[in-house]
Amino acid sequence: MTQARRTVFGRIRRIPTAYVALWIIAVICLVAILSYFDFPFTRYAFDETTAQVLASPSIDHLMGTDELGRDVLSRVIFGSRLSITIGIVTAIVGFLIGTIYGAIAGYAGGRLDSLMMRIVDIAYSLPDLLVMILIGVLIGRGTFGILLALALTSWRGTARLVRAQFIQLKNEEFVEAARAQGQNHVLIALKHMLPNSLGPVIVAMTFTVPAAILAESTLSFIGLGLSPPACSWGTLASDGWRALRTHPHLIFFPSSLIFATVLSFNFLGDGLRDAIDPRTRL
Amino acid sequence: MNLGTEPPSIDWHTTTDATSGDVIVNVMSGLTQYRQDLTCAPSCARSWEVLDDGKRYLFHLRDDVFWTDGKPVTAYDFEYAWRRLEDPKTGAGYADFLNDVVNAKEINELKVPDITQLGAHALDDHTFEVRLKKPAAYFIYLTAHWATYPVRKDVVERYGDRWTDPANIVTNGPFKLTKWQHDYKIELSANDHFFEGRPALDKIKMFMVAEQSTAFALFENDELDYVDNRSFSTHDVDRYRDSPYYRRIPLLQGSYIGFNVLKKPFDDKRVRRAVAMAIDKSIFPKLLRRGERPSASWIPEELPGASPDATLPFDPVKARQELSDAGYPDGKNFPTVALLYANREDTRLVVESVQAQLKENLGISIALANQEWKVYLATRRKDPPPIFRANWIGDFPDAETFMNLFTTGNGNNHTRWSNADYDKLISSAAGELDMAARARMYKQADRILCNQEAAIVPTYVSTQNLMVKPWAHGLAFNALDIQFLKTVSISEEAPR
Amino acid sequence: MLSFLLKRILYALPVLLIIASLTFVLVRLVPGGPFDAEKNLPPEIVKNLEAKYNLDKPVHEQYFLYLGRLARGDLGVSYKYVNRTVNDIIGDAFPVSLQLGLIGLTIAIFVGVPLGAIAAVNRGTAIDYAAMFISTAGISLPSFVIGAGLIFLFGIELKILPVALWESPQHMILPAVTLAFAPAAYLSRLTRASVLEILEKDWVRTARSKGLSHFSTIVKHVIRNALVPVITVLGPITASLVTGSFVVEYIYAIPGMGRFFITAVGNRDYDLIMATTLLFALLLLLTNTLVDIGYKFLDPRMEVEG
Repeated sequence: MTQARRTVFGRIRRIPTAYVALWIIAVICLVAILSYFDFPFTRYAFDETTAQVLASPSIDHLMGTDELGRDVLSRVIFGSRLSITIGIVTAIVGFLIGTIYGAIAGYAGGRLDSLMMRIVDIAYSLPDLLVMILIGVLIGRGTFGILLALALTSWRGTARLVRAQFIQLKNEEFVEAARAQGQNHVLIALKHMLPNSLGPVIVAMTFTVPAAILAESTLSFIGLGLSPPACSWGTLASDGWRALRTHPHLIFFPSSLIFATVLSFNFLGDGLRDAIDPRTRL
Repeated sequence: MNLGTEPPSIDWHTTTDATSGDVIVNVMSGLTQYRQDLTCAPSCARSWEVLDDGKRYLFHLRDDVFWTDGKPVTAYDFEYAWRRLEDPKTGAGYADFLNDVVNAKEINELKVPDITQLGAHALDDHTFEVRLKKPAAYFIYLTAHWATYPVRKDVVERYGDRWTDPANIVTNGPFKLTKWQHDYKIELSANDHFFEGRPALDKIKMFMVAEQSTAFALFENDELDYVDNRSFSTHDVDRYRDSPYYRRIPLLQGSYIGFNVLKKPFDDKRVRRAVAMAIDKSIFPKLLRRGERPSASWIPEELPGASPDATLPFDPVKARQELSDAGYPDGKNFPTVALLYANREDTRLVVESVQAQLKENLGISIALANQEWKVYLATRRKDPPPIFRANWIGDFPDAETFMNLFTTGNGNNHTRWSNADYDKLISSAAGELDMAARARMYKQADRILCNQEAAIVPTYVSTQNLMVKPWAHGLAFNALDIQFLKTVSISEEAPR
Repeated sequence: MLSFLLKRILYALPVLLIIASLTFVLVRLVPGGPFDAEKNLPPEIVKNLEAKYNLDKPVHEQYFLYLGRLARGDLGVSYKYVNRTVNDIIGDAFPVSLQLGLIGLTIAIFVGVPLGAIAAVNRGTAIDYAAMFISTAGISLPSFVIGAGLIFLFGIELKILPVALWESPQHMILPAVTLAFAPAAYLSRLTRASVLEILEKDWVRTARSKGLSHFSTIVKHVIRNALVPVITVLGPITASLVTGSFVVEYIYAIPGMGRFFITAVGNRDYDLIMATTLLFALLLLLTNTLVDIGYKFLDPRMEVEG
């Protein structure tokens, strides 16, 4: 396994876009982690200096100030913490649950598959918002509540995707060959089918990260987001979009950061796909 | 014009929504109507007499007022309407409006089962008599409010809940309801037979654009002829403050921070006073930028009874002193409380600012709890949190509508504050017909509310912000935010 | 095929029943009632209103009353819009969202899938990176930012398209494009990944070596097989597009259904919440059935059970 991991990382190093993306993500994550410590920027995130309400970007405030006179750069740094946490945790939880669930359904087929897919259908059919309001009321409108709400809605797509891949792969010769040899089902699924179905799944996962960041943003757009003064890129974007014409710095910086993060995850996901897939020749 | 949202109903007995009011006042006429300065002018009633020291009103109706189906408007239509308003089966939100009328409250609370016992009777086709339990200085204003407009019994009974559909409704005002595309727009057209003369506009389109920046873009592209606060975000004001189309008019709408005085730590009035003195009200106009004024008293300054100094002045030093007297020196040991507010763009700015000021001036950290509108209302009603943000828009132009709010047992008094002196002052002010004496009582009560007891911290009074296209003339706005469109005309240069 | 459809319908009914029951319980768990209006209603009046709508009965009784009405096709009444039934409300709003959603879906498919396929074939070139950049913008910008940008650019600056409202076909363009942005981006990324996957399969290499022209190889075999993951996600995408997007309908002031998923919950308009959920569920079952039929069409070897 160590061998394999080294190869994956080694392969990624040979894909320049993915390698750069990996570093960008690492830096953003580092900033997010550092924001937990009391370094100068985070403190300004809440300080009120009403003398400079809605100041444009300048030397004093590199990204300008918001309606309450808070430094936007500080807010963005502080906000990275929540956005990155939400994006990554949701993606990982969704990936794990969804892959296992979809693999079982797709591999087993028959009645079990039908039953499991009906459960996915049901989970899909409940309005996300209803589930989110409920969780917000029961657990509170904090980070944890939002994480839970998003995680509960993120696994279903992956499950369907993996299942579809598995149904398709089941008829491939190499799987049938393995089955004919009497290999263990779990082994077949893990060794032969999973690696071959990961391409679209990993791409889907790199979509889950921005989807979660955006879902959180949509939640604050409709008024169900975080309680202030806590903030995330999503809340900053949803608070700032009306200022597009008057104070574009309020929307430009958070949106650009979401964009950069998502782009990096895409390139990384692309690289990962190649690195994991044993048949890709580079 | 832009309504902002879909009116929940335009049945003037069941709805309490301001949006519904904007439609209703333009299709209907009541006994009286507001002039521009909010005094009462005759409408369906040609004149009225105040008898028995203010305990009996006689309204003399015009004989040339007709419903849109041609039938005359009679005193019996008012009698039926007022009974329907109080009938508990109607479920009218404004039923308590007529509480001063004989038997009104009793009928609404099922204590008097016979609705004909209501102290409001048609003596003949053109005479309507109202008997009050005690004199009420503000009573005449109620007859201009849409909750007291007449209703046609036969129409309501024939169509039931659907009587307000454009196909069924029968009205007596300047415009007729012709089209209602739900959640999108309402169209009104001129009533040719309106008793004050046909209005200048042939047609009014009332769109329901919820997003302020969208509504504003529609105004810029000439799709809307005027926009008001509903279509003004704080950002747009910055761009248009200097535009010749921009106007600002007073509004009887006050915002406040309320305390639940039964809950720790705000059961101690020293803590409440400390919070009141730690908030610099002058900051709110700078944040909201729509012409808000810091509150000097709970009664807005446009109304008799308002005072320039009823609220506690900003004084961080004294605030810290009172907080320390209450047992929290420099905010030490102050319990964790969350300030509840309804999630809207402008309220968010206000509470975030309050949070920061209390931290800086008192050293206390309060949390903020935002709830969506409905949950917020439910929470406030069932179990008011220790501290919350709220606002109140006057129902009629009198201090009573603001001051009655904080009397013992008022359904909207979420502070649970109860003060015998205050209640007595408000009750006697309502019956006092000498305006000067009345104003003195309100001033005294205002001081008890905002200063001595600090049950609430009034924060600011809003204004109405308007952008009107140069071709729209005669828009008459008043401080109650009731928009009468019968005087409006559109001149030739309008692009369409 | 017929028995497959029959089976699907037999499965759909209990699924819908479960969804109806689950939603019924969930909406009543959320605090706040339908009559918490802006000005407080006196308690006697709330009691009257609740009696009028059977809300004073025990919950299980309300449940059976509701199921009975549902079986007769009566979706109930709206508590907030007193003179309209839920059937009226859905009947007014759903066609609008359906129309907008189908236009958006068409744009998304016809932009997203070719973009992804072109990117895959030209992998690693400038074309690929350009496609990646565009699709990243599509998924990383919140739709309210995209919408605000489009309104500003095409509506206010260039004045070539209406900024909002729902009056003529021109009014549909900006909202449909806004709506299509995210799914188009998603479809293009998915298509790209899936086409790459297939291009590396042994049988594709064999087909290529057999001397078939490059183009027909791609069209005949690759696209067909690559579409499996793509149409998998089309089910939920279609269902959510045609039931309306709150954000898009909100910023363009369109009288569609998307708002009900938000306002009905906000208003605790129980029957309306139930109806929107059930409609969404029904559409999802329908589109997913179509997806499974699509599987059979694309790859007859796949065994899909009802």
